[in-house]
Amino acid sequence: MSDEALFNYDHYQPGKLYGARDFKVDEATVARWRSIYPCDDEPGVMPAGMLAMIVVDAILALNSPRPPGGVHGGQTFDITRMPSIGEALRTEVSCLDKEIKKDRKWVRVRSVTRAAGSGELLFTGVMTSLVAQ
Amino acid sequence: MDKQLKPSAQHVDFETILNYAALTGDYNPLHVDKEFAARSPMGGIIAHGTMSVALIWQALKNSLGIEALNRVHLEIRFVQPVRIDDDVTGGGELREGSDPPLYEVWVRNGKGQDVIKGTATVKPGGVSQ
Repeated sequence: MSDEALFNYDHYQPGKLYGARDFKVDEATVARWRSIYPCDDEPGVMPAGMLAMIVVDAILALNSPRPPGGVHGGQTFDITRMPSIGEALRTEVSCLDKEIKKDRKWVRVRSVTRAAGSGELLFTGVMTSLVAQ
Repeated sequence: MDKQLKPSAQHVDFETILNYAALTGDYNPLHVDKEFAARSPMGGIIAHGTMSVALIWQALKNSLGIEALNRVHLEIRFVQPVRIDDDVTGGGELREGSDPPLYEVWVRNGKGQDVIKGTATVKPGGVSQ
């Protein structure tokens, strides 16, 4: 794959919306999650650790292909309502800002996740990443 | 409000990392490719940072109840990588006098070093357990 094809630092444009990604909190996915985290066993409510999974899934889908070797530097989550098991979600991804510090390329990506049908706001987040290129 | 969050722990082996990669679709070679990771500035495989964030959520849930998670604002930094066969623990302490309640949250490795640091604010409103 050529470097030009990669979604690298230059592709991030502050303020730009990159689209939306759908995610279904289905029983099978929750079961796989619980195989790694057995104590996340509350009925009905999605394990909170999966919030990060939903954000990463959206970013991997909408800001890709990514150069290999990036590092997650920080994360925020602001919860309005935890998703329920069985719920369909839609996550929008946009670039908040970016900067080069000490030759390191940092980007901050904002995510907004809503219930797919009603549009009810569920949670927002900001993911700070050190991109590899 | 509990002053100390009830901690949650996990042993992170390579199989768990691979299972997490398969679940999340995050196959960054730093997490799954031993040769790539060894050649990188990381010097070897590192676990997905988000794997350990789950322990903070569990610690919050253990102490505050699941309803309270609907009102949490979490801010964290990944300050050190988690390595294969690390034992990591997530927990936190209530900042004295904070209103709304704010917990200093962390995930630490078996050496007691912070791998994640941050804060969790429990926003007003609703009913917590």
